[in-house]
Amino acid sequence: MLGRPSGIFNVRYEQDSALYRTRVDWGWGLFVLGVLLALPLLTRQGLFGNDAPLSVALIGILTRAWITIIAVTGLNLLLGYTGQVSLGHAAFIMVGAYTSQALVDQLGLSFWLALPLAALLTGLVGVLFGLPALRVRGFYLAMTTLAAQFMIPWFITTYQGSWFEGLLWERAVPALCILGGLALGLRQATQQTANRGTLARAMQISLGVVAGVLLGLFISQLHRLDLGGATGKTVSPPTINLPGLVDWRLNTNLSMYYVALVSLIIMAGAARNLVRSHIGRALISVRDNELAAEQLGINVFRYKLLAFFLAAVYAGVAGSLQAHSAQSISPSAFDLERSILLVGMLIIGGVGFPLGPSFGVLFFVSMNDLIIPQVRPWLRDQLPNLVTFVDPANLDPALLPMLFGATLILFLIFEPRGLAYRWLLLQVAWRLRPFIRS
Amino acid sequence: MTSTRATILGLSPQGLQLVLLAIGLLLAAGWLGQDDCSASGTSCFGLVQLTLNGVLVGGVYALVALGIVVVNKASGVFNFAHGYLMLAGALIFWQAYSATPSLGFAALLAGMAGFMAFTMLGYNPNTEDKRLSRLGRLRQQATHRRFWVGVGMGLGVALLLFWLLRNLESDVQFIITWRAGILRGAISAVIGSTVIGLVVERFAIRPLLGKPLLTLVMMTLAVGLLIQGITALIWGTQQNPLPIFTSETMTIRQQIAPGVFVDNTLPGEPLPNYTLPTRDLLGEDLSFTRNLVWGFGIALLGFVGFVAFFQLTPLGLAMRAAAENQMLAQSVGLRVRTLLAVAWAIAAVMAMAAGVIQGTGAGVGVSAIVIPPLAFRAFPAVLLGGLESITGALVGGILIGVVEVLATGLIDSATGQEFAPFAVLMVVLLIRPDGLFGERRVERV
Repeated sequence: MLGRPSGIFNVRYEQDSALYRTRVDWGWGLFVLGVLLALPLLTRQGLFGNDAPLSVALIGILTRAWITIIAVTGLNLLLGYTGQVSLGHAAFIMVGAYTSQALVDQLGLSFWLALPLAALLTGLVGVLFGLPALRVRGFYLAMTTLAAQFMIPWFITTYQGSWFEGLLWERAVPALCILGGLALGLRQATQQTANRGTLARAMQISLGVVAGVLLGLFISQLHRLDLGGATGKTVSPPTINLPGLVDWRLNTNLSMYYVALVSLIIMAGAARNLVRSHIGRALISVRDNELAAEQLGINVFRYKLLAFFLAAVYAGVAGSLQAHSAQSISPSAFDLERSILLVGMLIIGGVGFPLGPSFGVLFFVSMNDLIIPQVRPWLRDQLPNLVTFVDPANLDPALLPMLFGATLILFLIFEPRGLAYRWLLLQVAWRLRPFIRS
Repeated sequence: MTSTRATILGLSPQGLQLVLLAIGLLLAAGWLGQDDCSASGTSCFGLVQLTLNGVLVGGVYALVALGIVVVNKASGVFNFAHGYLMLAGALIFWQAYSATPSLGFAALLAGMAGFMAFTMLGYNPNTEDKRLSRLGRLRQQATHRRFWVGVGMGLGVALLLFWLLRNLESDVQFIITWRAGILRGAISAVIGSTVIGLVVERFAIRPLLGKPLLTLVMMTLAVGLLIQGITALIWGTQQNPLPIFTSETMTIRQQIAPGVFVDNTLPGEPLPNYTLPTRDLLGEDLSFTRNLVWGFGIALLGFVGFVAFFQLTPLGLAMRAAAENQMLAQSVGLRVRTLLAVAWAIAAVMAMAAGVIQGTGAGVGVSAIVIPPLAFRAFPAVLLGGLESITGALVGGILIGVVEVLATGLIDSATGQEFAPFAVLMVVLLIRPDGLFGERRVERV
């Protein structure tokens, strides 16, 4: 309803649910895409020489921003569209990062294969911690994600390969996984609710089997892994290796920028498409009124599990990208504070708006990477004159939590719908000009 | 609607509870039935010692859990900032304890304490009651006026004394002792954390009353971030030793230039552990470090004090009434918003006490890294006991303490602190989400 240009009417459902409704929308989308694609070319490593307008470090900051937007988009699916709070998102990112590292550097897979596999495994872990949704709801469910935030880093930092040695973990559990995958696929395929073709049923069964085989293979290799304990590991950069044609190591800021940007476009597009599908409507109905959703025949438990799965998949993609672009992982980067920051970014950006994650993350990044480094030297000089009892060296750990906490408090009180809502209002005002009252 | 009942493995929740209870009882019986405790990798003495240590540690968890329960009952929000309230209160305690003693500072504290006592004792939670006689109304107005008179007088007297005594300080010989440091710390920490609680309630929680739960939860998280930043700015992130129970030494911190501090350690005797003569029974004497015993004692005292406050005083009764039914409490003339402020102040003071007790541990000190996670580990205690229950906070806290110390002693500290409490949390949520003593929520369909 909001932000619809005057004089343009939707006469078909396709028009109503289209992502880009007008040519102007298309134009803007392509323009933004072009600018984003062109940004790295404006640096020293791009088309320009030493007098380039942008620094390479800025491209690194933007790469991290795109990766964080992927993670927050997953959180938006869970919190914004399904209404379930997650305080353990950083732990799921951690699962993705460590799985991807293990798959690429220790089991020898290609990054391009490891990325989706790590995301799927993270999704499974998300489902595991979403299971209490069967008994509890709302705030209690948030507590299980808090438990994930503590238990997953504990598992990874104390992990020893010897836990998973022996016939049980190397043979029996993988076999069970394959059987379980088969059983799940059969169950899905034989459900009476929808009339599907034979092909669809066969695909469901084979999907279940493939998932089971993959999980079983991974579990049977667990005893070979070394997760680095409390110190972390180094991660190799992604490679593109076509024999005889190219052999690239994507270890520069610029190349990872494009990897992250393409992933972001795919993941954000998938999220937007998902939200306007029947699944998205089911998730929204669970958020708005669980009781009514149940009366409409929506299996609330299943859709909550699905939301946990999706959020964890997004976190897994973000984790894998983060590990391979930073080329190192350590457990301290995935603590509770990061989870809180991620939820805070989403709230500042706008919970339940498609653009919310982008606004929130860009706001956070501009605060953390652009404003604070500018302000800090000045404060360091001025602080001893203003408050004598403060050691200026304390500014480094203190500035971000103080500023972000204060901003979040102000947003929660004065604009709980976030920046995306303001942006929408701005668009409406622009379209209705000059008939808008300021 | 029995058809939509949730089932796990084909069992109803009640059936599952019974099965799990039976398995637990069988395991416990098998474990207790053996002649020695060698199966667990440690001696019987070690197990008893660990369990009792766990109970002592659990006292602090109970205090933390009670603080969370008080806020939850009053404002219906689970306070994620509790850990940072603990940190802030403990740091204020440490600052006053280790600051150079001065007469002006003492006078400031005395004045503040006087004003707080004056206003708190004379506080009447009732609003104006139309049925009162004219005299009654006047008396009530006088009570309300008394609050502001108390604020003004206390602050005025404190500032006056502070100003008068500032110039005398260098001539007066102070008695610097360990006990004086503790007293100084306690008074200023109570005042400081009360003020923090009131400020948080007034500027962060009250504007959000009636908003969705998520907003309130996020607000407590944001407040936690803000307090974390402010404490990091003022006190840094290093460990500040606070061995007030285990030794009589104390460190006085003097500022010699802006941002430059010098620590002077006054000599004192380390105090021995407490022992119980159980040599005949277990083969060795049980021994408890002083900070655990004193911490447990103070936590228990605080616990009993607050329970008495809620059961016996008019203010406590009013708070319970408001927690029971806000609308009803409002309609009989209770100032619910003021009661909310009181609840936050009380919770902040409880958090401070727990933070100080935690900070007295040997080799720990008051530190931004150690203290806030303690509050997160107390969340399982709250849920285990039940969100609304004060008894539950005590039982849950002690159980979590035992679980944590046993897991720490038998496996390692990472397992004890990061895994075991949250494993309990998951089990509680799956089996009995309302906790042991919590109110049964009516299941919707």
